Amino acid sequence: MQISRREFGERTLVVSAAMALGMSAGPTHADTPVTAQQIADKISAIMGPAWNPESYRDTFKMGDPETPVRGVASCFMSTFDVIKRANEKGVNFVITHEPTIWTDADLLPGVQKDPLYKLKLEYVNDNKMVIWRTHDSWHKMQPEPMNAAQNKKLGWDKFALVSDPKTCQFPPLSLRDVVSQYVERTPTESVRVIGNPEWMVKSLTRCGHSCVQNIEGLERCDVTVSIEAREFETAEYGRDLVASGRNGAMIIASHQSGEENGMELFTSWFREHLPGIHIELIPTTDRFWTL
Amino acid sequence: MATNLTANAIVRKIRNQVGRNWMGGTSESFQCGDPNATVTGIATVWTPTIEALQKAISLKHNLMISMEPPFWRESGTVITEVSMGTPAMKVLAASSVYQYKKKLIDDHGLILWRFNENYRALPANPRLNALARTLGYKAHENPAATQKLAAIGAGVYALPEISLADLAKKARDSANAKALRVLGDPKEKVKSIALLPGYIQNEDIMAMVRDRNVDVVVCGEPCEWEAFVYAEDWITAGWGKGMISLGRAASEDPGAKALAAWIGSFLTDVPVTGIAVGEPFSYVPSHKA
Repeated sequence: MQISRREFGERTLVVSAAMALGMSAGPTHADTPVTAQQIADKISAIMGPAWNPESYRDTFKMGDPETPVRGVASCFMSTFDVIKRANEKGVNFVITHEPTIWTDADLLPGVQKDPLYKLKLEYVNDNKMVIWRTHDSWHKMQPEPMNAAQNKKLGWDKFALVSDPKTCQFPPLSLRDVVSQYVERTPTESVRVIGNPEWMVKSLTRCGHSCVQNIEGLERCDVTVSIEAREFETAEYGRDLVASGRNGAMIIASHQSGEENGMELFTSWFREHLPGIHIELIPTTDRFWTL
Repeated sequence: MATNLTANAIVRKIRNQVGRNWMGGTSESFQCGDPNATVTGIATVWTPTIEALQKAISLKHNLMISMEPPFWRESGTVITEVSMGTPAMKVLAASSVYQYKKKLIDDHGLILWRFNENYRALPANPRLNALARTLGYKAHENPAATQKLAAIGAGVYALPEISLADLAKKARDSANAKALRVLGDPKEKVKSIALLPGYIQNEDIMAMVRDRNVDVVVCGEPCEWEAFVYAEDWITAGWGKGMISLGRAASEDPGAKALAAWIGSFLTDVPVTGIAVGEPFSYVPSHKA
């Protein structure tokens, strides 16, 4: 993303203002009230070219941005459970990667009369909490942090291609062993596999959620790993791939298992750049179970 | 069994059967093959997998009627599914899987016709009722509550009290849903179920739980940042107890077989066979021994 000199100048001013408020000056200024808006502004300034002010995702979702912050909770998804746990820990600014009100764009028209929406909103407002999302900008950071964090957690960073860090090449391993590594290192019960678990594979690529990424990925790698994919398109393509006699496999894991590690990385990044402000990761956990 | 009916003639008979309720501008259309070819038999299926096509070929049925499209993408202007990255034809053409499937269809002169929104909208709702029967819920239906959800095609059932874990086990075994995924405390006692085959959207789940008379939502597939999280929040609020995601195929197979029975009820001179595709997943590492 290109950023104009004028925009950059404005952001620098914001950083200076935030710094003047003691945001990064350590615990001696801990009693200086800092607002959620100021923290969001500082984050966007530090993100620099990765920050996209036009993003419909990376905006405030609930609460008053001018609320003084008592501490930050980072999370994969601002579920009602995560918001409650943040509040119980005494922190009131939730920074989430995924939506708060159940649509990608946190759309209000479909939910305004919904009792669950009202309950969640009331809880946030009553407890003087604020929710802000960092999705597009965090994904735009280089190296792409969600992928980097996941590679590291899985111990696959040493196999990642420099030219394409989402793709790994490794000594032959059974599909079952690849899956075991995924499940052991990013715990979730929501992992479903298409392909023969005894197949020996030696390359994989991570695909986000899209069918087209999976089709293209399986043209050049043995395995694709998706963190959530639609079943009618992607899973059915995988089934047909096997039926056509091709040697290939799909690992479809829960969305949460693929991105919570990246929000753990966000938490360290935040600590490094805003050292005076308390932040902790509230694990979302996908809570899926199987039989 | 010999017939002189063309695929076009069969589609006309289906449309006549639906009658004045037929909705236009939907995804119903021929996907492959020659609509003027004579039909030797009809196979109905949720999604026309390669294996299902091979089964139809072995049955000498040359017309396949499916609820989903054959090439993993919505075709035309009608979007009935929430896609996450529809492959362009250029991408498909480069895929050996596409080439294999297309050749299989062409080599055997198969005709594919899609029957989706109008099937789902049949007043008798065979898609829902077949799944409800498969799961053993149908005899416990609350017809008034189901009627209130007619617009989204969901059903409501009052079961004898059962733990969420046992309800899930029953669903796994009866619907062959080995890869199902469940939310909620397995020990919770539940009795009121809202059921919707297929993909569940936010407006669906909101309507299903609105009256606060439902303990568990049973569905095919939720989006993990939409209906799935809505269910999570609903459980956190203490308003609901669980969600069972059967998996898309497991939730649609009974309805696809019911489609064969429905067609067979008015097309008696053509063999009609319902094909269950089963789950696409071959391995679920968290399965307990």
